[in-house]
Amino acid sequence: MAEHRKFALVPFGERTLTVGSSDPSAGPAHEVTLDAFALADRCVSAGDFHAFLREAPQDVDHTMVDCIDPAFVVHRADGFALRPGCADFPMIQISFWAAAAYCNWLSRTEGREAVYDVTARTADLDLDGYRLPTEAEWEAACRAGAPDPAACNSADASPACRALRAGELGTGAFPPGSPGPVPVGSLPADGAGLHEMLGNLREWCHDRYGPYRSAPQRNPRGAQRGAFRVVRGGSFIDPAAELGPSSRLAAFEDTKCEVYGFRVAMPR
Amino acid sequence: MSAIPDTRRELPEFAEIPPGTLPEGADSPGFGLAVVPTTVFQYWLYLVDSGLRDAPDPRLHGFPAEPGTGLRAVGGGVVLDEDLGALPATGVTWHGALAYCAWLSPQVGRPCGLPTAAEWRYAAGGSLGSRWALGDVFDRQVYAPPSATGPRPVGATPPNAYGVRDLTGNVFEWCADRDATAVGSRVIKGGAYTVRNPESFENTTAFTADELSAVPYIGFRVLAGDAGRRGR
Repeated sequence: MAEHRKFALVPFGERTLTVGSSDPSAGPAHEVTLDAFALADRCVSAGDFHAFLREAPQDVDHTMVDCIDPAFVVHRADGFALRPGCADFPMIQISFWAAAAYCNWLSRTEGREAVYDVTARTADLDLDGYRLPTEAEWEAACRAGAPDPAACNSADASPACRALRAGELGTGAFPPGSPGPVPVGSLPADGAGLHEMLGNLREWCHDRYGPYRSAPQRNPRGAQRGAFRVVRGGSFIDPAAELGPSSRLAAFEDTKCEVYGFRVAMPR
Repeated sequence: MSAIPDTRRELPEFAEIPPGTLPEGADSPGFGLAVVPTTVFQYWLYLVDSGLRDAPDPRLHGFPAEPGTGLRAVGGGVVLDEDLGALPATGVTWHGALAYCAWLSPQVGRPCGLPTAAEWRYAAGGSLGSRWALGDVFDRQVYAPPSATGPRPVGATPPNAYGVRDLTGNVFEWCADRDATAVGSRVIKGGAYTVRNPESFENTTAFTADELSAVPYIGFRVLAGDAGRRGR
């Protein structure tokens, strides 16, 4: 595992599968064919993201990263700072474009091509760098791992899971007893080796949000236009019954919130 | 009603908030509250007068190297971009806001400090408790134009019934209160260009932030008590 990040990449081969469901919010179900890709086994942690912020603070501005409570990263006179005990919690309070800026930094750090132009707000997914997963990739990985919604950090989390939440440890200014995230990789991996795919945080995906069509698609990448992005997996505020591999929500791409985080993907 | 504020003012102008019952039930004898947030120019005068211009204190403030917010870190000191003097002073921590108030007190002849969240809310919403500083309708263009990517000059909104401007939107404002649960955090009020939901700007909404935060979306405004007594 690289020194500048705590996550590992899980490879997924080329595949054809049915995504979506009969639920109107996730339908119609349709067939997709995906090229091989790799997906991080856990979300980007506050420690991971802080390494980026310290090395390349010029790559973000304060409209992309929010440091008001609750937050694991604050901004003091000498720049971004990790709050005590927060390194392993997931990075929150970041916009879609802050996540994209992190992907670019990771690509540069590991000698890959930068996928995103954060200033122009464009992307070239044919490059070999890190990026956010498409929602089809995210769903394919989640179906492969088949995580149990009852075991995740949802609004219906078990007492054992709740005990891991930030508020119980007095970290990140989450009030004690309030819903909050658990550290990345702190819950058992699913069948594909992925942690916290369901619950914990809604994860930014690459796609602009748009309606599904029933026709088969190859490597779908979302709507052509719009300022809303797909977020997947649900969070600590979402009921377990609403969490699953096909559940999808939309989020305004400039939103920074304690229920949104992300994990990275790359082509193989 | 106060006139359009003079953004080259060296010292704050105060609106007098009448005696009354604060939202949490305590009686207030009334107080002065700065018509607008402390400006870059006003904070600069404090930096110069106190010697902090050449030796900034990271516990009190931290300014960016890049231009745009009025005060810049250059070679271990601070410089003023004069054309940006009317922006609200930002990059100032909660401690820096208090330190400014302590410096200001003898100059205005009144005890100065930060408002509590209850005093702030009372000054913003009056005894009837309006949702935002200018009433119960959220006017996004007035409070928080969606195109904003940084602070805007003070005095951008009309005065409310007490003659106070800019309470809603532009930059959050430090309040005196400690947060009940988050150690080392303080209450901030009023919303900023970095937030979007109208609820985040409501007079009753209180966020908190690390008290050593030095960011371009948190500023502060001064409360002044009566000269003859503590006032609060």
